[in-house]
Amino acid sequence: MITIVKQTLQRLRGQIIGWGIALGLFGMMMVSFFNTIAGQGTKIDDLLKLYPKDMMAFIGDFSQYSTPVGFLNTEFFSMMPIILGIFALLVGSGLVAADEENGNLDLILAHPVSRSSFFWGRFGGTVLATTLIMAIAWLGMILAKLWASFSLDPAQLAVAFLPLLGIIFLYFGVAVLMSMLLPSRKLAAMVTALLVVGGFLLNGLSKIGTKLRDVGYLLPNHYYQGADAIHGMNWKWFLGYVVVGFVCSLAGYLLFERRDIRVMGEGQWRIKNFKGKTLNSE
Amino acid sequence: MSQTAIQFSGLRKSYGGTEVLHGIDLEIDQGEIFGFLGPNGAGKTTTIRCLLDLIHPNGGKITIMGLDPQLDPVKVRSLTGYLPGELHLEDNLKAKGVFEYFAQLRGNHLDWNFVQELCQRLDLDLSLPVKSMSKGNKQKVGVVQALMSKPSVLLLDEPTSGLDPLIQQEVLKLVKEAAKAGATVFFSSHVLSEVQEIAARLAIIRDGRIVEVAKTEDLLHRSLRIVEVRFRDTVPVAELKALGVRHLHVRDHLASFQVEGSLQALMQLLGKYAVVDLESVHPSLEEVFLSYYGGGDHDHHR
Repeated sequence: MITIVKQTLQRLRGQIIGWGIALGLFGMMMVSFFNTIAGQGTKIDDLLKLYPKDMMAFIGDFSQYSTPVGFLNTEFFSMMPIILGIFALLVGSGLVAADEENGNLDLILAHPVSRSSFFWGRFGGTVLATTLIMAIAWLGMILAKLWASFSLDPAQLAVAFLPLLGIIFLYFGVAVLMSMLLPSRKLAAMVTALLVVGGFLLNGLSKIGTKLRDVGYLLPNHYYQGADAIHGMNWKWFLGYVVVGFVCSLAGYLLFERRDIRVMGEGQWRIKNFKGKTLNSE
Repeated sequence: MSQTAIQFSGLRKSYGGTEVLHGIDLEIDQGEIFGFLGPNGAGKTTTIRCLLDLIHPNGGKITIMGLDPQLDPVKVRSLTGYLPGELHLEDNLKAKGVFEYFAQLRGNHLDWNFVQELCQRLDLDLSLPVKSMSKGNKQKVGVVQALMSKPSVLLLDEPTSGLDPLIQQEVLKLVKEAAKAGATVFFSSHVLSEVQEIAARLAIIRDGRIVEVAKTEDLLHRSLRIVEVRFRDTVPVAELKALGVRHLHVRDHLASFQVEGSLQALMQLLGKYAVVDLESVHPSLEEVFLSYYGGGDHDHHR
């Protein structure tokens, strides 16, 4: 399994560097900008009060904008579930399906590697890669503290990343499960993208309109704290993300363990007719 | 007495509602080179992939070196070297990286001198990136990775596909050497001449059913003969057909056909006609193979 973890990290090396540096620079820039924002005193708060309330629903509580936590929430953490969600759905849907559709899986599994070692090796490597990307983003913020006065310490900033890690893990698990349920990686990514983007939009709308309020409770974004976790981490919500993400991944693994490996290419829908006979098969 | 290395008993496999293997029964002895012949879609690759638990059979039993691949897939794979029919390799690696990766999957128990020797014999550059490799070079990588761990069982699906004739010969030599060293080789091929060259026994699969299992030599020298008869007058087509000859082809006064079994009835028939010339030869494996796929079409033109 260690070999698979190492190989997965090696494959994702470019993505870790690319996503990590991009988010690191973005975090660094945001922390550096905070001095300028804080220097404006109440002017910014007065300006933001003029913004439509609906906007607040999507990108955080503007009333806290001049505080480090509120600023980070609005400028960084509010959008991260979508940005890193794209990474999660791509790597999750391709966890096993990428190798299978490329035709590599046949030969890998012809070596003394169990399906469980392969699956959990890829899983471990990908979770580690995601954590590394966030660690680089965190590091960018820490480095910016060298020249910018920012009251949050490294430990507090690390806590702010935990809810993000949780929701991304959930998206990743859903993408893994979808890739085992649906005939292709592309389709699995599309369905998970609906949850990532649709969830974000619906959650925002549920805060505005009373009709959608109850729908909000069903969405992962409703339980996303962002940097507010610094004021008090909701471990139940975090655990909820981890459990749902893991259960989805486990279900994906069980499906992988039981099914045939394709030589290559995408699969087909397995639709049964009224006699229970499969009309299209892999 | 030779021991069984691979055994199939009533192996069945369906995809959706369609059965593609209808009860395969085969036994391959240890140290044997066994050819597996059949056209595309006959079930060769499906049979081989069942051996490695890449796909799950719907019925029947398989054992490799006494192990059930479904119960002990990792152990089975540790004893096996496999070359898939459709070979795809990690694009971001070089040939050396591919071997290193597979060696790691095998727990690093690898003789690198042997890997280098194999590459040298197949004229494969270890520093070549996979993404810039020709089909032939990729196939060489496939052959090396199958052989490099000196496995007890070699499962080769079209091993010489895409290789030039010189390298094909070298691959067949390597396979023979592996068998000589004690490996059991189960290989599928369309190239009948190479099966004829290296396989001691073979099976012919047709539409998911084994239609023949025989020693290659026996199959070639079996009572099946290709006969060419030049008649002085008209060819007695109806009477030849009534005898049950296969692949009858008539051109002017010349009739060519295959006869299975005794030639006595044919000789009696020919005795009634004026025969100018008669030639009877044993067919090549190619012709034997085609006779199984002729579907009993007596008028098939060779």
